[in-house]
Amino acid sequence: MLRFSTRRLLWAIPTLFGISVIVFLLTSLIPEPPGLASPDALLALEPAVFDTLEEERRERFLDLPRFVNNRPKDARARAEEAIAHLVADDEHALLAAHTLARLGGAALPHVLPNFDRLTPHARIKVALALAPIGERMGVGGESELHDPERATAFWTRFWEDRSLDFTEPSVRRTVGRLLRHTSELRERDITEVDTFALAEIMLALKDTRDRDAILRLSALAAHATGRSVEIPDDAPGAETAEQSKQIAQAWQAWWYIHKSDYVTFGGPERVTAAVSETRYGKWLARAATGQFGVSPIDNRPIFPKLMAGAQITFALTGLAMLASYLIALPLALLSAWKHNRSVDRTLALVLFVLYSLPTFWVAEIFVRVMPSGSAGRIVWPAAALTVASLASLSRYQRSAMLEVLGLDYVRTARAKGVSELRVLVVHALRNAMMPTVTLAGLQLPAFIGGAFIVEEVFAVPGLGYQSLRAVDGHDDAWLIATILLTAVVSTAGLIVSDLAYALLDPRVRELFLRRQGTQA
Amino acid sequence: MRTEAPPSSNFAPVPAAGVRQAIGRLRQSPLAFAGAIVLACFAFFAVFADLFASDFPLLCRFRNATYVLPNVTHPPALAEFNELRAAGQLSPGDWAINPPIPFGAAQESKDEALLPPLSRRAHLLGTDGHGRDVLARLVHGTRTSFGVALFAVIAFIGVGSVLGALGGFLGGIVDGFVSRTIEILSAFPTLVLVLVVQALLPNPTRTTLFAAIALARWPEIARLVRAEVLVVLSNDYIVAARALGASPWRVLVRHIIPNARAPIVVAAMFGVAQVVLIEASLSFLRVGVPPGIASWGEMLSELRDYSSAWWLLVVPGLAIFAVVSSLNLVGEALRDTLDPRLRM
Repeated sequence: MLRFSTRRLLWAIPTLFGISVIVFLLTSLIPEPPGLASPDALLALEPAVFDTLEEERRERFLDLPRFVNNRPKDARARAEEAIAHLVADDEHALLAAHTLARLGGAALPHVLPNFDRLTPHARIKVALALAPIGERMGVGGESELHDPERATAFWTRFWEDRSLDFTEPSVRRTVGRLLRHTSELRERDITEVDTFALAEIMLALKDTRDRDAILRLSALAAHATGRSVEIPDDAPGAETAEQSKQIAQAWQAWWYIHKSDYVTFGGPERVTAAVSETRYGKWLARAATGQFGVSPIDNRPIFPKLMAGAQITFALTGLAMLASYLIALPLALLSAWKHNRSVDRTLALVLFVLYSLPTFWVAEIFVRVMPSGSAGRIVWPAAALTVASLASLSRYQRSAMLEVLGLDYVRTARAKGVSELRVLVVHALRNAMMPTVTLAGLQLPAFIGGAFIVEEVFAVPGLGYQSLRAVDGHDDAWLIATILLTAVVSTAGLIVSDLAYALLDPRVRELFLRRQGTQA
Repeated sequence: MRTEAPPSSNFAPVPAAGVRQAIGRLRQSPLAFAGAIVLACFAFFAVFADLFASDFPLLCRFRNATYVLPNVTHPPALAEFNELRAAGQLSPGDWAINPPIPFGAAQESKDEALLPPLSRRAHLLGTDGHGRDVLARLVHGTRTSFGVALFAVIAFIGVGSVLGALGGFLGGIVDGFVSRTIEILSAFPTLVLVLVVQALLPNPTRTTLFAAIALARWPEIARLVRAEVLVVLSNDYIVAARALGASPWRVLVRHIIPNARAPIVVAAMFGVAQVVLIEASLSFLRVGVPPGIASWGEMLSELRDYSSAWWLLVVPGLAIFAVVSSLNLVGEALRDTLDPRLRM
């Protein structure tokens, strides 16, 4: 049994992987924000519009390839590309200067040491493009940064003096000191390495719980990136610790998207980046940790809402499944007992009618007939779902029962003089139940689909009801999260029913293990 | 009614003896025969929906020109005709012969909203909240239901049987891939998958609807066909055919396909019933057919705004029930004849 369980669980890994790929492909159906056809033209006209469009694309990782990234871009690659455009003075030069200013201090270790290799003309161009960074860091005067004659000399000197500050250990020390004793001077130290300190700041933001430190680090990060973190403050003066925690989380989310702008990949990172720095990789890593983003309807994170909805939906599904089985089994017994008599015929007719009725119709009838009240809030929807799903299960169970009753061992039992009831309950039922038990796993997706309809009719705020609100509100992230969750739960249900079947019937175990052996 | 009976046994070349016998048997089972007749009637309404219900006349004369079947062709010259006729300003020489239900499926009239059935002679089954004629919508909803079901079933039976047969016949990597895909796609609840696809697409249409349904349903057919092919392959006559030097192609075409055909026909019948239900459910949730297209599910969805209009519950509900139960009856009769192993 252990061997079987392990195999079965391992066998689920590729399935889950496949499910994630399918759901990821579904995300590609969401219309992309307008592409940046001529970034330079837009940048020259309206830099702010350019930035929001670019940000929108990056939030969905549209700047990354889908599945494999042959050339993952890090701070070094981005800086070098920008320099190349600047030097060539081609149509991307404006964009390159903009990018370089955004990369900031993190790009300097890849720009300034190579200054000597550039032609004097190119050197001036690059030096002037660095001016916004210098202003942000608060080094050099207006005249030094913007004067073509002096800018080159300034940056060369800057690197001679400060190159030691642009090393990881040095920045780590500075941030550590800032966390222990804050002072203006230490904040200036960090400002002077600009975005180069972001990696350490983000690490510190993740670890620290101190509200003051978080606000201070957040201000430093905001200064370097030119981006402020906005927290929906619905209750001013409420829990401030909660608010600072949200600030830290917002920065983490931002860092997840923009990290590759500010860090340089080492050897192993470069290899893993081929997979992780892709749309699928980024999406999967987030989905696996329950980060589905924020709902555009109410600006709240999706995951907690999803869990609350899932509780209701799966409670509904579970109740309805349980009830269906509890009703279907006795009905099948009754049918088999009175086979081809009027009870059986009537029952068959009723079940056939139920079988052909749509779930939503049954639910609409229930919602009219049943009394409304808080006690029945989950009971009546579950009852409606049960009635709608009962028929196929009963019909299946009845035919399984009749099939088993035709077997030799049942005839033997009858020949021995065993009473009819005992034949049915003791001899036939156990064997006839087995296929129906496995069916539970296969039926789960159908039950979940039925739950969606019933929730909408009864206005039960489960996954289905909220999904339809999400359709109206264009909350695509919610829909993606919902379909991923339902598919994963269905797979889990299938595994559980397989395990249950194997526990009941050793032949299935052997069959499965043998089949796996020949396939491998 | 008798004239619209299902294809009888002398109906031009019938491919296999099995299928021909099944259709013959269908006439002997009264329930299945009744089901087939109901289906034929609905199919008739679906095909000629415009002739039964349209706001354009069947034949009319307007401004010295005669138009034949303008309800099908919708000539631009007639654009003003309805307005003028409603205002009673037609010139004396103009006339029109109206279809039995002189309303279009989308034709609204504010002052005739929510009329119960039989309250006016014009609106036999009443009107909905927008003043649209229920009977006209029912007729056009038949077309939507049958159209989506037909295309979806053709698509998923096609894809499912080809992939399932390939998997079962070729084995190895192909089979591994097909089985895996089947397993993965089966994990998605059909309704949720179609709902999400329709919601995420920038402009969902009837085409995307049936494509999404086909995407969600083909694994079931593929599983069935694959199993069937594996069963057929294990028979001695396949070994014999191979021993006699039959090529894999010949084995597939002459031995496997004819034997695997019966379960596919049965599955197609039940498949239509399922798709009718799925389409109705999705349209009921207002994520199925795009707004403006008549559909039974969409008619029922009006109940949420006008919950006292019982006829909006009963009329489309009965239509769905009639079609689905007829399909199930015919499907079960076919299955009992073609594939007694699956008999319930």
